Amino acid sequence: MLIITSATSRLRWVSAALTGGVLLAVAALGAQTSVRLETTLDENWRGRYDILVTSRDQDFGAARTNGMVDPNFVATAGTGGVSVDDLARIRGIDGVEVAAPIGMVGSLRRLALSPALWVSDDPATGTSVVPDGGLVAQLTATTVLPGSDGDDEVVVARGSGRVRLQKRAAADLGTLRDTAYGDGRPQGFAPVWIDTGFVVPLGALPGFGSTVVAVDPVAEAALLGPEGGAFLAPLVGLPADRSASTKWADLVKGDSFLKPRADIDVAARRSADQAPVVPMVVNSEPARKLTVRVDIALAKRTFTAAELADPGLLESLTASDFSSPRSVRGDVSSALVPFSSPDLTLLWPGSTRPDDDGAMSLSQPVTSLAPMLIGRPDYTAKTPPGGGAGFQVVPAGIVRADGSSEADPQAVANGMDPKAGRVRAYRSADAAGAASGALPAPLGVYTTADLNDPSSQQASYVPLGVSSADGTWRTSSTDKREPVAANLSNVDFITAAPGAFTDLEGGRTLRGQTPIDAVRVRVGGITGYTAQAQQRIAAIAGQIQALGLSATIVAGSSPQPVSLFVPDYFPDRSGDAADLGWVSQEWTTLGAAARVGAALTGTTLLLAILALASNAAGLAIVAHSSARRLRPNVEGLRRIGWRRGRVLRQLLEELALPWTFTLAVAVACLVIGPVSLRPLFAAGAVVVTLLTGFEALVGMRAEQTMAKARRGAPAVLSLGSIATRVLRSHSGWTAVTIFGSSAVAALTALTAVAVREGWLRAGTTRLSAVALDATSSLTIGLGALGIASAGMLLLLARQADNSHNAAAAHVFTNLGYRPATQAVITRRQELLLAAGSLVVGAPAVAVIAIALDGGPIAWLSGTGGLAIAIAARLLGNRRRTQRPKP
Amino acid sequence: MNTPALQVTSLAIAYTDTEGEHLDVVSGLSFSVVPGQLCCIAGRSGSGKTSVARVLVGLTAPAGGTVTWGGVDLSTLTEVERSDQRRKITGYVDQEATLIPGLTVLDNILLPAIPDGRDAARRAKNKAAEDLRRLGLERRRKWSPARLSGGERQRVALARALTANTPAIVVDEPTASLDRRWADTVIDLLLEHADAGGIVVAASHDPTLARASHTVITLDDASE
Repeated sequence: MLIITSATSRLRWVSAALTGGVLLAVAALGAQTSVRLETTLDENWRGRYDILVTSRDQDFGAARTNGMVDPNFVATAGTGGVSVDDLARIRGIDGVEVAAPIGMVGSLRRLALSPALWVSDDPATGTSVVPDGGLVAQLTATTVLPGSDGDDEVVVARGSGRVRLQKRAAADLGTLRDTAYGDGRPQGFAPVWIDTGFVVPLGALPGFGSTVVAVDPVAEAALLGPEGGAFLAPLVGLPADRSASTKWADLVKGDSFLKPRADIDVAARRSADQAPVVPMVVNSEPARKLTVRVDIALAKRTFTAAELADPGLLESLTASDFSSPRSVRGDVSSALVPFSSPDLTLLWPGSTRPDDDGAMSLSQPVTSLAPMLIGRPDYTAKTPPGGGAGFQVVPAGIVRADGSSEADPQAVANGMDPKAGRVRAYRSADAAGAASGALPAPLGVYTTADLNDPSSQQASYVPLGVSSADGTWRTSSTDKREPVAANLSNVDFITAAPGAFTDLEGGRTLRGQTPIDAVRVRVGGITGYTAQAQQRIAAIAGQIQALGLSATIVAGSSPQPVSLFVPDYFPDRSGDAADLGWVSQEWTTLGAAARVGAALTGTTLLLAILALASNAAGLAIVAHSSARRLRPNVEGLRRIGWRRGRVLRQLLEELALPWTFTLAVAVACLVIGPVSLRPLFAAGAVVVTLLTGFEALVGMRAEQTMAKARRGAPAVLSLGSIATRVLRSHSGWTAVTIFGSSAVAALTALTAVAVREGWLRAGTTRLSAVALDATSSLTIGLGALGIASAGMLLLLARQADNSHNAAAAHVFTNLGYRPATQAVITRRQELLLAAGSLVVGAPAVAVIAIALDGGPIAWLSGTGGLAIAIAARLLGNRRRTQRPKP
Repeated sequence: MNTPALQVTSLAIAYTDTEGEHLDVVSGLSFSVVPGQLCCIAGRSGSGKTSVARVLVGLTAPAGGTVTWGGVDLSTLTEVERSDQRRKITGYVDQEATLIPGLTVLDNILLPAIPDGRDAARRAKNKAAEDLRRLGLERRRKWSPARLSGGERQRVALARALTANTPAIVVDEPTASLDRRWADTVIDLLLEHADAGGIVVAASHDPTLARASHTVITLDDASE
């Protein structure tokens, strides 16, 4: 039977139920957030491999770039290597499931390529584009890469010369090079002729090269899974003896690679020549679209026979002797494909191709194979416009379009402009000694599509090291994303797809005993993102480090967008146009999983603390209010003879049931809630117990004498002063209202800042995006719960106000106050409360925004919360009517 | 003082209790009070005295019959008009002598005048000083109602009505919590008001008040 607490029982049970509800909601939301986070990390924390092994002196520079590494940080290490013996030792470690080596070992360089103009002149049929009076022309051949919107084409080579051609008589074809019919200056533009026309060379193209990558094809296929690595099959099961032999020649695809096959055959027949063979699969796609544009400026006047016969004619002419040029263009992209016999012939306007195309070619395309070590770019910090992660790549000198440091003197003598096509280098390239003399043996082909890793879009993607992962984008002012492709120098800040793959033995042939730049290690027996899994990976990394190698744990990494400033990209332009500017890439953030886990767990904990703390504040207010209302009943029992101890026991018995209920809920939350929140629920149980004890102690205290009015307080003479005086008379609940509104504002600001900070700490990786997507609604729900708990204070105060106001309304009605007059008093009270809330709440928001560097989000959310709290009370009051009761 | 006469005709008051049972409190009550009279409505506890008082000032609607003040039927007035009637013509002092806790004794007394503006409130304040003195409350004027005894609260409520100086005063049990001395003082003040041309209707079971009244209306116990 309730004796002491009968009047307050309902309030106590309501607060107990609310507290239980808040505890359960925090536990449920916290548990669900934890489960989703764990599931997300389980599913998204591992890429193709877990540990990246390099030589001890290798440094990815992650410390200088905030724990992030650039795209394709795996290969092009260039400065040191891991040996094949080291690889065997790594594979011998228990727990290593796959150890896949990779190394940038060499280059395939195209040499002796010359585009040419075909000029039809067939004496047999009498068809010719050469006028009767001969033809004198200024020729400028410019080789270009396509530009992006707003940018000009990128010049990679330019050659110019002059040519004189005369129509041949049917009976006198002369020798192949007979200055009577054709002459060119410089020598690189000297024409030759066949039966049906002239072939006018246009200088020589730079010796563009592409990289050769060494892998273990079996391990690579194991790393890529069933959907990848098939293109490496020709490298599996090859003979151990790499000396040139007919066996090797037979393995080469004869129809596509005639010359390499022939070279091996010739070497095999020279018994004294033990030239090694490097087997490879070759990229059959050109790296870029390459175009030759030939500007043809004809001489303005005709020449006499004597003038045409003058050997000094071409040199005697000046630029003003030629008309405006007309252009012809030709696609010469196939010049970039290793071992190809590209068609580099353009047609003079009006000319037709002869039946025998092959006779037109002046090129004896040669693909040379040589060792090459390519280094990594260096970076410094730079803040991008708009914020976020940003770096600047450090320029490293100027090279020619093909990556060579100096122009070929012969090419210059043949009319090539030594300054055309220069590019900025951002890496080092070391030819690693003299040409090895190794013979390339193309056994198969692949395309760029074969290199695409289906896992490249996953949250846990870690670059494999073949080429830069898709995605260097230039953000233009129109927000259009333009892809940026690597230039042809192989020392650009981004790397292109390799020209060929060879096996480890091929790598040793080119680079010696340490052909491996990195070993990608996948650990076996890993099931999920657990402490045991991370310990297992760390243990194996430790064992690898004990071998004298560097082992970087990449499990738990994730790509994230990074802005990169590329300075001085165009060395031959001036001013700002020389910079490529800001580009967007995705860099790999090491330890992203740990960062995401810690950030989101921390946010959940903080929001749970806010929710429970605001609920505890409400509980304390209820306890204090209830306690004071117990005193008359306590006093009454004491007056009729109950001893103090007996009264206390009665009071505790009556308080026991709601206390037990709340405690039971707290204990249940300890069980169902996430581990990280258990201390909170334990603290909650303690707080509830303390508050119950507090209520009992306060309730047992003797009733205090009510304070008298302040001396000298003036009489109320207006409705407004009635409102003020009434508010002051129950100052406790007035304070609760003001505190409640301020608490809503502060909690809203704190919640917004906590959520924002958590999301910032989680980072901007793909993994954090997936984790946030899975948990953000729960996080926001937990934040809203805290705000709602603070709002409960307002409801409690509103209840108390209603009770006070109802008593006053009774008096006003009896005295004949109109309803509208009573409404004026109530409205004035509400405005005073609103003003008080503003005076307290606004500085609270300001403190949070300034002290916690909350920024606009703290200001906006806190101000919004305060406005809603004030508005809710004002609107709620408007709906209340002051009507006299019958 | 332009005091409207009170005319009650065939008044019936009925309630429905919490269990849904219909209860006739008063039926067929008719009486009139003219200016200059103190009328006592007497009866045992539960006879309906308070109910009649509430109906006379328009706080409760009767189940039947009419109540007119100066010929104006209360049932024809709007809520605003009834409120004005209470504040300016038929002042009401309830049985509980309810005061607003947050206001001082003086503040509570000035309440009827405040809606008329500061000047009216100041004039009421001057009059209140005399009324407080006569009721022995001048030293309590700054006190909170919570510090007052039941009898003091009752005297404050009456002082409020006297200060408001409405032509008619309807008062419910004005002497219930008072000792004899103060009860006699209150009766004297009520008679004074009536002698000045006002009307006083007092619902009371105090025999001294009944003897002092010009007319006594005795209510039957409807529950019997």
